[in-house]
Amino acid sequence: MRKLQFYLGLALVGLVVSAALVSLVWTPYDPLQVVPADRLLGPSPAHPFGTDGFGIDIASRLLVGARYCLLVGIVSVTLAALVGVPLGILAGQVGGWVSEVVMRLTDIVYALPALLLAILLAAIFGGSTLTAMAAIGVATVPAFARTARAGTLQVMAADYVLAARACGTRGVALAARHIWPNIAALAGVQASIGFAMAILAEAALGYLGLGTPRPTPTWGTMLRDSQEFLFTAPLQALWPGLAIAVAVLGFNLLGDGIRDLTDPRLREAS
Amino acid sequence: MLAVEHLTVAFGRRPPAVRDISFAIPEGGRLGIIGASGSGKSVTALAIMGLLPEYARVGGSVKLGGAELVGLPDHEYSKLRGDALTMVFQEPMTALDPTMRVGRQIAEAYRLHAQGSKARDEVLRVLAAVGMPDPARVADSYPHELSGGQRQRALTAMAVINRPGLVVFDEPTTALDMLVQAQVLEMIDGLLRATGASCLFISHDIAVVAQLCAHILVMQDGQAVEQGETGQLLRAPRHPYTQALVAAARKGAVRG
Ligand SMILES: Nc1ncnc2c1ncn2[C@@H]1O[C@H](COP(=O)(O)OP(=O)(O)O)[C@@H](O)[C@H]1O
Ligand SMILES: [Mg+2]
Repeated sequence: MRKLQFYLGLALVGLVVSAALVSLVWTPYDPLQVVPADRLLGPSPAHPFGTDGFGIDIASRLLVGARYCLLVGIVSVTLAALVGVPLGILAGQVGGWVSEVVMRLTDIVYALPALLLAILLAAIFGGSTLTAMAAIGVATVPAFARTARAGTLQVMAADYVLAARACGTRGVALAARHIWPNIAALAGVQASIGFAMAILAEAALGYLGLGTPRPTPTWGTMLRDSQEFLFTAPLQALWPGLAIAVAVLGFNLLGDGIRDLTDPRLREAS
Repeated sequence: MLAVEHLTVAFGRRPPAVRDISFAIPEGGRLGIIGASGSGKSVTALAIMGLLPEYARVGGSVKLGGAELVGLPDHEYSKLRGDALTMVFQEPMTALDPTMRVGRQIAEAYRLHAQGSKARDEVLRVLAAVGMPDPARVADSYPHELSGGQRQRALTAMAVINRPGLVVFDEPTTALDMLVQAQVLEMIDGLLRATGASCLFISHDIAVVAQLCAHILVMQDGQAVEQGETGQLLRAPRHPYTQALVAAARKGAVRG
C-alpha cells in the first residue's frame, strides 16, 4: 500500500518530467504560432487536446508548460532548501537566542504569503519567471527551516550525537557528518511537498498574470486564457487544470511515499 | 584527577535529579557508581561530560586536573572531550551513527585531536586493542552490520583512541548478554590497565562494578547514600539500600 503510493507518485512525476524533456526537442506544433483559422477546435486526431483561443495546439503548450512548472519548482525549492535547511540546523543545534531569532524570522516570512511577495516583486521588477521563482522560494524557506529544526532537535538528543560530542565533535563537523545525513530523508520529503506547493503557487501567479508573461505557455496562464471561454469551450480550462492536478498529486504522493518508506522515526518529526 | 563537589542537577521545576553529590577519582583510579534505574547515574555522567541539555541547571563543582568545568562554554568543553575526558554510552544499538561507517566515526574522533598522522592505521590499531578480531572488516562496516558486543567495542575504541585521562562508562554492558558482557568487561579492564586512564564506571549491577572498581558510590533517588572502598562496602554495608543490594547480589551469585 505504501509502496503503491510511492510508485504512483513516481509515475505521475515521471509523466511531467518526460513531458518537459520531450518539449525540449519536439512538440506537435509550434507552441507560439497563432493560427486564427483554427481557433477553439475540439479534440481531434490532428489536435488531441484541441486548440486554444489563438488557434495554438493545446498539447504543444501543455508540454512546454511542464518545463516551466518544473523549472520554477526546482529553482524555488532549491533556493528554499539552501537557505532553510542550514538555518533550521543552526537553530536546532545551537539553541538559545540563535534559535529564537531564526524562528521569529521564519515566523515573519511565514506570515507573508507568497502571493503578496510576488505582487511586491512584480511591482518592482515586472512579473517574470524569475520573480515568481524568487517569491515562491522565499515563501518556502520557513517550511524547510522548521522541518530541519525539528529533525535536528530529535537527532541532537540521539545517543550517537552525544557519543560523537563526547569525543569532541562539534559545530560544522557535527552538522555535516551527523546531523545532515540523518535528516536528509526528512528534507527530501519536505522538498517533494514543497515542490507540489511551488507548482500550485506558480500556476496561481500565472493565473493572476504575476508570473511568466505571455506568450510563453505556462499552465497558469493557460488557465487564465481559458477563462474567457469557460461556458463556450470548457475543455480549455480542463487540460491545464488536469496537468496541474497531476503534477501536484504526483509530488505529494512521492513525498508521502518517501516519508513512509524511510525510517519510521521520521514520521514523528514531521 | 577528577573532583566532583556538591553536584546538583535539576530539570525545570521538578525536584533535582541529582542532589549534592561529591566524590573524587585519583590519577589512574576507578570509581564505580551503582543505583537503580532513574537514580541519576546517567545525569551525573552527562554533567561531568558537559552534555546535559541546555535547560538543565547544574550546581556545584566539577574539577578536572584542578580546572573547573561547570559553566565552561561548549566550544571550550568540546576541546577537552575526547582528549582529556570521554564517555562510552549504554546502548550500543543507538550510540553509533547509523549513516556512517564505523571506521570513519572512530577516525573522526582521532582527527579532531591529532594532526597529520595516519588515521586509518590508528583506527585499526585501536580496534585491535579493544579485542576486535577483524579490525579492517569492522572499520568498513555500518553499525547495523555488527553485533551488540562488536558495537560496544567499537564505541569504546572511538572513546579511547586519543588516550583520554578519564573515561566515563555508562552501563556499557547492560544491553549485552552475559557471556559478551564478561568479555567486554575483561577488555575494558585490560584497556584501562594498559593506558593507565582513570575511570568512572556506572552500572546497576554491583557484581560488575565490584569486579572492576576499587571504590564504589551507591546512589538512590539522586543522592549518594554510601561510598567507600569496594571490599569494605561489600563486607559491611551500612545503608539499608546498600545492604539490600549486597544481599540480592549474594543470592544471585549462589543461585548462578
Ligand atoms: N533530559 C532530561 N530531561 C528531564 N529529565 C531528565 C532528563 N534526563 C534525565 N532526567 C530525569 O532524571 C532522573 C535520573 O535519570 P538518569 O540519570 O537517566 O537515571 P539512571 O540512574 O537510570 O541513569 C530521572 O527521573 C529522569 O527522568
Ligand atoms: Mg542511565
